[in-house]
Amino acid sequence: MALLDTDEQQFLSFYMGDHVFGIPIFQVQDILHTQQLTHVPLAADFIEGIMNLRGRIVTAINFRKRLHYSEVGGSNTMSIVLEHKDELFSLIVDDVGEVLNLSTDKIEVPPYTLNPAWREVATGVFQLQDKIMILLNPHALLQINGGQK
Amino acid sequence: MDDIINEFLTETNESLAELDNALVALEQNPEDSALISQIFRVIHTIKGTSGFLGLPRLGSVAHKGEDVLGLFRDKKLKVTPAYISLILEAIDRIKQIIIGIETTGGEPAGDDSQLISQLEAVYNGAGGGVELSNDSPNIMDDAVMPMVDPFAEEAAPAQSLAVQEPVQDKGTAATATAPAESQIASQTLRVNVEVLENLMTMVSELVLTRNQLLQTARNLKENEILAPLQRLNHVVSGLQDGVMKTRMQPIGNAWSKLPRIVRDVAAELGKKIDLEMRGQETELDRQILEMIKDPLTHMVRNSADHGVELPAERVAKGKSETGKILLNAYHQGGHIIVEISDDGKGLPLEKIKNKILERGLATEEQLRHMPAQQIQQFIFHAGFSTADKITSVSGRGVGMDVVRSNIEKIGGSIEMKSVEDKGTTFLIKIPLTLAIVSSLIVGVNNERFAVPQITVSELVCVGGDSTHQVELINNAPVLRLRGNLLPLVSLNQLLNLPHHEDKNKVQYIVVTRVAAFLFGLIVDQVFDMEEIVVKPVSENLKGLQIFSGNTILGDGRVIMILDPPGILKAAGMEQNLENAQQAQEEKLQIQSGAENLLLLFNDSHDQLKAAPIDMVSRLEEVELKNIEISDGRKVIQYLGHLMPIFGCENDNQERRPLIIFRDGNRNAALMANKILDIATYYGDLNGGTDGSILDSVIVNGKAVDVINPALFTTQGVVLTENA
Repeated sequence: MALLDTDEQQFLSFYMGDHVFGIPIFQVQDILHTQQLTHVPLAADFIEGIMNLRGRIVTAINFRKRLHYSEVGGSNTMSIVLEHKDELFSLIVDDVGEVLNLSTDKIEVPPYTLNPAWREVATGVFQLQDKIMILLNPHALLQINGGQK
Repeated sequence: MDDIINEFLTETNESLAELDNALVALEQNPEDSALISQIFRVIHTIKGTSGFLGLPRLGSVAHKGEDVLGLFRDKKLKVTPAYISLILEAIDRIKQIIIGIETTGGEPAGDDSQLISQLEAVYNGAGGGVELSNDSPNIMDDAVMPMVDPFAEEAAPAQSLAVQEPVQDKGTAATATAPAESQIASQTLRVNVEVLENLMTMVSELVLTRNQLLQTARNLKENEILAPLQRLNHVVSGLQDGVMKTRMQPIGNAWSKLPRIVRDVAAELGKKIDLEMRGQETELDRQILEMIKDPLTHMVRNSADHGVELPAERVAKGKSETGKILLNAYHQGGHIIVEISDDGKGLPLEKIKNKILERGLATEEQLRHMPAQQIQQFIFHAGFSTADKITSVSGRGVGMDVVRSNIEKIGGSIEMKSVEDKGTTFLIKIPLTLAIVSSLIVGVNNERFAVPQITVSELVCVGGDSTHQVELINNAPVLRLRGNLLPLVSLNQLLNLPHHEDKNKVQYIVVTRVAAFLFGLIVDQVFDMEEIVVKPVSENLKGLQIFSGNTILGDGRVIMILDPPGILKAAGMEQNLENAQQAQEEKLQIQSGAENLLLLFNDSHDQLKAAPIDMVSRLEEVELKNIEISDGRKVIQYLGHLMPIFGCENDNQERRPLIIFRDGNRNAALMANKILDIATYYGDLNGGTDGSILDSVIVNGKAVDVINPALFTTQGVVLTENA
């Protein structure tokens, strides 16, 4: 029943370093192990490359680099494929967690002290038991001009 | 049957089917203004289109029906069952006529005056405040109802649209036809374009998967999956063809508005113009069709406005009063050719010259030496118009340059021939489909990129012990190519890829042409040609002007497609484009005559000879022991045929180069001692075509005899396709 409740939203959680993020599940198309990518010269550094997913071309975005998070992550990464404006993007993250039902009234405004690069893409935060999950706005995340270095 | 009529019938059938339900609903709910509007719109469309297509009977019934419906819509007449029956009757009549058109190609004969008079009675009755019921339909029966239809008249000049006059036969046969299920409607199906695009993507993916499977299967020796795989292979190919076909549309669709436009221009300017359209059924990719629609319309309008003269003027020139514009589309070697010609006054040379001088595009001295053909090409310059006055139709100077750039954008080209007082012909060459482009795959720094083949003019190997070397002028790489200096762009540097200078490394120069400007792209490797399906580059990468798109290769990998004009810009050579165009024009003045590319070689007597390169189909190397004698002639097996070899001298060499000529479907080979180079010669080759020597010319300071390949090919063998 909880699934159909209007005041609950489903988020896919994923990890980058010690942080946990959430993204609305209905925008997630696929979850893949990292694929072989074709490098795109001159593209912004967070554009890791492009790849073929069932005949469609997917632009792969390195989530760490997109958020200017400098620490180097593990090599065993996962890709979350999202659809944005009729295009496919894959978000390369450290690991993918579970799908969570969050009640909307518990979602809080991101703290004002949050790094501006993070604030830009965050719609809210949610207090999990041990961590604070940052909820992302995929459109803000993918509204990027990757052509400029 | 005419495609336009066909489409009209399909559409009309669909909307009529909706109408039946709408009318019944209206009867129950007479106040529903949305329903009335819907019915009104359908009938209005039928009226308009039938007028345009020259279907007077259909037009007049729809016209009168529309009048009555208009009253309903404006609430001047109350909807009653009797009126609904009358409207239904009119719609049934429309259906009958449509079925008649479907079966005979023209309007069936029949008398609608009774129905029309009923409709008029209702219409006039409402206007005069007289209520009239359907029970007294004959009240106005005696009134003479002239079938006035303004649209029928308007359509008259467009008769050459191949719409036949109503077929006058078999009196009542058509009226007697029961409103059977329309046949055309059941044969076509409207499908959302998006569904088709998805299908196309899936099929491309299926093709890729099949290719991978076939690749894997090739390494297996005997395998039970081979037979089913072979079948899968055929089915997938068939499926691919089928899906590709769904993207194709007849070019006539892009022409449907032209008869009206020509008619309007003719009426406005007091001209008489016949528009003839041929090859409407020639099919083109939907996307391309959209893109050539406007250029074509523009050009036809130009022909009507500038090309065809006024009737009096034409008579004075000894031509018929009525001018003619011909549109013709046909296939030619993987391309579609669209020809637009008129028999009008041609391009006015003097006016163009004045305009050129006025705009300072060339000096008077330069013009004096230019051939007429070259002067005419100036109409493709931006903002060039020779119209005396700006009419509502044309003359604003936004014209042929836009047309040309639009056509070039889809990988096409445009040519023009014009003779003063005889007329002008434009030839537009467009690719069959945008989706598939043949591309050269090149590699730098272990990354692969595609270059559209249409921009590649040749490949040169440099470095190592090649005769060509890259030279540096203050770090700017250049290549000497047949006496010309070719600016080079290192793809490595341009793409900011790591690179190490190694002078002895063998590299390749992809000689690339953007409009008139040639430059070389330095790459590490050249792979194969591949037919690729172009996919637009991601919105986020649009800022990278160097790439025009990306594609998925046969092995499933994604690669970027390079955009030569973008490369020019990125390399800062944009300015050179203009200069090159000017330089080329100047060069043409000095070296008047056609540009001929010649293949230089030493023949078997070690004499320097040349052959026109457009006759050379391939260069091969042959082992002398493979040469056989047949019918007293020396021949070699080539592509499963015996091909005669000429100039064959027995000596001790084991392998010798062969120049293979092709003329139409005849092949012949000439043996040479050594292939030397390719050279450009400006001028016409004047010799006769029957002699063995076409001409003797000076190339690179040496006298060379240009041989006549026709001499060999006429004795050559005919290669048939399926032998």
